[in-house]
Amino acid sequence: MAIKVNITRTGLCFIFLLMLIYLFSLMSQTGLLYIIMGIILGIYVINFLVCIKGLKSITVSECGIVNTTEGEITDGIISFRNFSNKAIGFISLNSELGTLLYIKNLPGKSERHIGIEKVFHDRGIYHINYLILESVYPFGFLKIKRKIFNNGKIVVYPKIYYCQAPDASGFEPMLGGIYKGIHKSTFGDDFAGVRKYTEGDPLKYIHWKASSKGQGIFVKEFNEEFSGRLSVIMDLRYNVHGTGNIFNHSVRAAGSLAFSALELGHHVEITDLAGNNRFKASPFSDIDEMLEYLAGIQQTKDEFSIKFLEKAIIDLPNKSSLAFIMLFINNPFIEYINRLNNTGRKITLYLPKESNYILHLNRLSSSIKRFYFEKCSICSD
Amino acid sequence: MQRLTKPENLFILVGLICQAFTWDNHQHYTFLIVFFLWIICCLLHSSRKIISDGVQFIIILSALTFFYSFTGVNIFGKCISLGNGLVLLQLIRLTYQLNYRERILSIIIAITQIVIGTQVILGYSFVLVISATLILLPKSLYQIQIENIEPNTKDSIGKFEFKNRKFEFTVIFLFSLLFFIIFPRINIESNTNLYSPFSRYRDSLYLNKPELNTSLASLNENALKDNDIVLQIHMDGTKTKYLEIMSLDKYENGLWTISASGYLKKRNLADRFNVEKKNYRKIDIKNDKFKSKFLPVDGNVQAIEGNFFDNPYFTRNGDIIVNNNIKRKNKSYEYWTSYKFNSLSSNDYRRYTKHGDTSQRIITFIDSVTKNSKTNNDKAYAITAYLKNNFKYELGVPKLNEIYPVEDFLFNVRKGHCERFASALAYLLRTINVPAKVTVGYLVREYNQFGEYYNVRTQDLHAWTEAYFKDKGWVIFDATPVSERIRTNEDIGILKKISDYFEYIWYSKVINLSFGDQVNLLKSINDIISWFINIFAKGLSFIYYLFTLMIFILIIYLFKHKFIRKLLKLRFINKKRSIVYAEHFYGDMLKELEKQKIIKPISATPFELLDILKKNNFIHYNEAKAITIIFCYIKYGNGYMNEEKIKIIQQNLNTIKINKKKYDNE
Repeated sequence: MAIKVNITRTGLCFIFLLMLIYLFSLMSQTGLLYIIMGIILGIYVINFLVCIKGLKSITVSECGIVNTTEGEITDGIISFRNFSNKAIGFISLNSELGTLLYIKNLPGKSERHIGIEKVFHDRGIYHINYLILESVYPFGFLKIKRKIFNNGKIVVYPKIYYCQAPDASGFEPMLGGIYKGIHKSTFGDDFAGVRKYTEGDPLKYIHWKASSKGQGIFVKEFNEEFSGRLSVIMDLRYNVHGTGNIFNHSVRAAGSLAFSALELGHHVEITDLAGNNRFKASPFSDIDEMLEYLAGIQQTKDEFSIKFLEKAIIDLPNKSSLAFIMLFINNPFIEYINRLNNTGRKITLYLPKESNYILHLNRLSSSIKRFYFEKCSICSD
Repeated sequence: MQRLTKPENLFILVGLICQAFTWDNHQHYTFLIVFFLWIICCLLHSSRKIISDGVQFIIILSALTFFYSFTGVNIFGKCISLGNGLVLLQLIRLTYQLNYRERILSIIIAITQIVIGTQVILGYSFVLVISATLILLPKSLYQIQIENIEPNTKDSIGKFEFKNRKFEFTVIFLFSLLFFIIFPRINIESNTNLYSPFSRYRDSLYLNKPELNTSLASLNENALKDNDIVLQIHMDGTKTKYLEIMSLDKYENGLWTISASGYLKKRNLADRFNVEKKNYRKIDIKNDKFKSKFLPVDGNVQAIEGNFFDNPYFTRNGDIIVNNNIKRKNKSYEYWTSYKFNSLSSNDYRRYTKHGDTSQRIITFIDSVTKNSKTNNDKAYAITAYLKNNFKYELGVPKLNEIYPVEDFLFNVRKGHCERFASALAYLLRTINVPAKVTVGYLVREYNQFGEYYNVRTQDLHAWTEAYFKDKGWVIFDATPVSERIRTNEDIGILKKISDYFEYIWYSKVINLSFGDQVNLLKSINDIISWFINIFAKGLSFIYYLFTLMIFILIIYLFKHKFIRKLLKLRFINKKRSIVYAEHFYGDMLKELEKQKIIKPISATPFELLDILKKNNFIHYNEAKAITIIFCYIKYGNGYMNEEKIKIIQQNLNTIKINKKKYDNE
């Protein structure tokens, strides 16, 4: 239990005052000044004793894994329990991330569960290795700090927003897929009708109600359901043009596009230009894992070339459509995606709205859709 | 009303009142003015500033400049003046809502004003100031902190009141006391005027003028009404009743004065280490008005030391004259006297017997009074006794005849105050060729047995006669008749003496606690500790055991809850928590039984459940019984849960749970 004592600015002012009174007392004929000095010093002593005792008697629950979204209040709750009979107040709970919460008063023998007040505006995974309990109770002369080791993290998801999902391709039958095929199937959710029983049909497909009418045995038929595949390829390159903010915009855009695609029942795979980071999400799956992946994604200073990109594309499903979320583009890249597009690959390109790539974009194939992302929206030309 | 009772505002008021003390602490209207201004400013309080920052700044700067430039002649004076300027700032700031920094500044200014006030508040009223500071300062700081966090708080966190913060207030009080006692005093002596031109001390009254003449003139009764303590004397050796200020050796035209040669230095005073130490006196001057160049002493002074003068010397009249009577507080001096006396030179003999013409009537008077006396010594006693027994003490008697004052006094008026008797006796002694002088000084009568000191008050001023005899030296003759006005030691009540003693303690041990006193105090503590160590070393077992027992009882008393519990590891849990624990464990047992398909009927008592278990031949009936008994003992009896019981319950519960696992496996 590491305890540290600091003097506040108010405390320093009063120390300065004490020094002045002491100088005054050197020439004064009365010793009564020492009583006044004693009272002020007594206040320091009380500040020290009450604060130390109060902070030592508080137990704080560990701040484990807390999930939140950019700009929103976290759902993390930290419990405080005061075992002493005396109240303590003016407590702030700090960490390497800053002040997490503030407690005005914690009465003696009481327990409080307080939500983390700090709002995180940028996505990321913030590790909390220690917590610092601070208090200036009751006079504000001394600030006592108590360090508590903690093993926790705050995962700040990128803020996702509604947007149009990129075109998917490589549709395959899948139960629950919202795209309907022309064929009928004996299983699925979308009931299409009945047909005559043919040999080999499993008994469980028999539509008993229709069969009971005496016109023969009928089996159920369902509309065939398809879901497509989408690969979101993110640009993690660190460049002066791609500042941290724009990168965060791109992550939000990736999350929002992936979420929209998942809502439509597509398989989504998120990767980067070098194919180093890869995350797969099945249709209708819980998006928390994907958001956590996006929260932890970092820019890289690794060198990049088209060869890396080619390798990354090869690893992706052949039929999946590609959504490039780029921070900046150049001619080789345009030429490469034009080539890919010519091979029949469905491609969508997302660029920062602030970017000015008119010369490059003029060379872009007209069949490649392009969009621009901002802080919290995606728009077309 | 809330504004008026706010601790912060009250503390500011204390500061303002302390500052007002520097104006004039005898005139209460200054306090009333400050008080009413404070009330008005508190009532004018509004959320917005009445006067803008710029105007405020100009007003304050002007006030500070004025007070700094035109008042106060030294650092103290300047401080007081600045404090006066800050009064204006404090009052202005009461009228609007301050932010955190401004509020802290107001508190600092109030402390500064209290500090300035302590330079003039030396009496018991300072106890009130300290009490107010002790209570209001922590409360104000706490309130400021709360309102800094929650501006419009309505006691959501609670007030810093004495009833719920006894520990805090006690610690602050004890710490201030400890700091006051043990913090080493360093005092830089300064010959500075403490008071500003506006001070009440600007017109000092010289009670004892060096050029004082005593005559046979009238003395107003009001002159001796002042009852202030002037001197406080500690005596070692022979006690004296007469403390001499000056001797008047010259008689001319009915007036007694000090002759030119009376001022002359007779000898230097020796170093204190080189004198034969017979009688020792330490005199504290308790009244600022005492400014005489003549120091009150008794006997033949050999050495003298003091903290307010330079170059003391012994005059030919036997007085002590000092130079540079510094104006400062806590004046004191000490001196050593011897029984030796010096014989008079022929010049001095002539000087002390010079008396002018004497009328036949006076000679006849002396002859008639001293007809039975043979020696001069006897004659002196006879005349003294005659005056004392046949004359009357009275103040305010009309003036005597200016040409024949002695005759008028002896044969017509026959009454008067001490100076008349002393003058007349000295004159009469000189007529029979006995060297004599009139001595003015204090009559030491008031002894305080609690503090073992003598008090000398203004009204103890007295005059008597000293006569020289070859074989005895200077002898005191006091011809003044006994009067009701003259108090005796017995006249002073015990309560008065106790209150005087407290006053003595307050001034000498509180206000003027010196480094020497601190050292003595630490020595005393050291002595007490040494005494105890010696007692233990000598093996005085009774005191040792008594002391140990007392310490043990004290420890038990102080730590009766926590310490003993920890020591014995019993850790009794209080009743409420015990029941919670018991219910918790019993509930656990019921859950286990439920899992084993033994459900307690709702109406069944714990012991009925035991009967059910017994009927069902429950394997761990004994364990369940043990838990049930402890549960009932705690919940329905007066039992408490302790670690031992918790251990038993947990063991039994574990046995039941293990049994359940075996049952499941089977």
